[in-house]
Amino acid sequence: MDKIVRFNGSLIDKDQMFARFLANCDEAFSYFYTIFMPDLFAYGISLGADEEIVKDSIQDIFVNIHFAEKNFHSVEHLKFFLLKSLKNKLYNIYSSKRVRTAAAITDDVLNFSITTTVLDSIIDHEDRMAIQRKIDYLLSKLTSRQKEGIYLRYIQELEYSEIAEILGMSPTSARKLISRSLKRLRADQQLILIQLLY
Amino acid sequence: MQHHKYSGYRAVDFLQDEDFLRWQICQTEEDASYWRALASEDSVLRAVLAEAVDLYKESVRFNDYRLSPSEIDAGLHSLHAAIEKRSLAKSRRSFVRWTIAAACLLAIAIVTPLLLRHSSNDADISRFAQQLPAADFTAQDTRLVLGDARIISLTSSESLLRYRADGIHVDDRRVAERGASPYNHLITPYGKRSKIIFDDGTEAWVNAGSKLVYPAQFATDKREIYIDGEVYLDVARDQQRPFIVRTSKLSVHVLGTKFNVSAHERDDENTVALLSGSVRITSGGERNTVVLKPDQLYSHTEGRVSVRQVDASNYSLWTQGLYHFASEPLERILARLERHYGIPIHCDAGAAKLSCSGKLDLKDNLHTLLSDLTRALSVTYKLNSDGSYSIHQS
Repeated sequence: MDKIVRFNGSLIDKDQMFARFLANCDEAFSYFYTIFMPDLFAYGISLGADEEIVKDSIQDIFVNIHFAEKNFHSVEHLKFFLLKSLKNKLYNIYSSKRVRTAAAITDDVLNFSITTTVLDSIIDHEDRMAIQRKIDYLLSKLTSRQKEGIYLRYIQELEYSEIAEILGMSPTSARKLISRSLKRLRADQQLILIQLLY
Repeated sequence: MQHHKYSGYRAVDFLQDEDFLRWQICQTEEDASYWRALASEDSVLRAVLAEAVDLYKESVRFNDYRLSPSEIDAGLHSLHAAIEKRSLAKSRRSFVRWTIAAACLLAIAIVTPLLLRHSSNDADISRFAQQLPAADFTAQDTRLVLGDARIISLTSSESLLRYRADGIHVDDRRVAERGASPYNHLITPYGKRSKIIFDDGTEAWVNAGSKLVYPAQFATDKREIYIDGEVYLDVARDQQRPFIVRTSKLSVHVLGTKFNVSAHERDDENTVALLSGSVRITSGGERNTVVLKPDQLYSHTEGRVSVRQVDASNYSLWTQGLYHFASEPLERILARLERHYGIPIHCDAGAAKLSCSGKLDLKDNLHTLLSDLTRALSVTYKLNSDGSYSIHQS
């Protein structure tokens, strides 16, 4: 993360903001909401939750943070805490929903997915479609859990210990999950060159 | 390594290459050194590769569920509102069932089958009142909502409304005709008070954070109002028309009398204090009717009813800007001050239960009152950055 960022037109020192946040400053609290809300929202939707439920859950989490002791040791720690809280909250909401709609027991409560977007500013339509298909194909080699692992590691930039907590496994297992995912993304290269189907 | 496979590649072609994609997504050292090695051997490749990396960063997004700045802003506003709401509720929730603390209670349950046809909630006015949208007691102004949905904002801190034959007068100014449609409602927010004089001469003092629903003109067979909050009534004598106060849990039948009803929806305990005259109180759906005598306090908490002797005038002093209390838990006193001033007061669990007796002048500012209170007890108070107060046991 950058240390000094632009926010609403002025330069902000993130560490300073964080110190103010810990000291219960309202402006800093609003700042971190604005900074993290988009990531949280994206994560919630990726887990397969409903937009309104994600928004409400995020709001509840921030309300609770406002009233609680702020025991965060860094901005990154705060982000991890938020992501983890969101997943737990959504998990609870959706597992109780599940009981009500009597879904099959083998279904996961939340299913993580990755959707790829190729922005259309520079690349033409045909190429964009080809790229998107290719990336989707690549990612389809991964299980939902592996996708979540990759997303948390490479897109949300969490530590292995943090990923482990969110996915409910030991840090060693988290490492194994990521390396296995990488192997999968690398595997069958020879076969692919021959079997390109798309 | 088959780097010759990349000759002739445009930047866009790299974005369809699995090795390239994996490198960009995962940024492993293994992939990085592979591409570094390739680039160092071939300058043309290096240039196209650099272009491809830029293109990837510019164009590829994962789980790009974006929120617009205005959506984030709206979320922030909603968040602040939720925090405000919880702030107020928190101080009120630390409210203990004070029936436990009270010394001697007379539990009365007189069963009179006759009068129990309707629970409080069955009355038309109760039904109407309960389907109204939740009142916003944190608003700035007192609001009078007429039957035709017109809203009149009253800006003074203590508004006086009079219902006369020629219309509704607010602070001596005529603002509307009485109107035909059944109900008006008056929302008095925290920090404000109102007084209504009905067309029969009954006077109602309405305390902060209260909603009062009543007909623009009383019916010919009865005079009925609904409250969520606190009202002190001086009811004009009318043998032909009983006066009935409905709350979500109680019905208070009156013949011509002075009494105080404290029945905030959010409170666990509802009370009726009788100063003079006679009232009969029914609690909805239960086979309980109590007839109060002057200087008695009726208390209803979660279905449990009790009556005890008090100096009932203490319960109406707020109409004169005074507040007397005897052996009341601090949190209850603070809850009242909170409503009166419209300023949140947080209280820690230890301080909340402290029993206090005394007198406060509500015309003083809150700062002075808290300073008086805390000097008497072993607590400290402080003003927070958002304007609220916090009380701690010291």
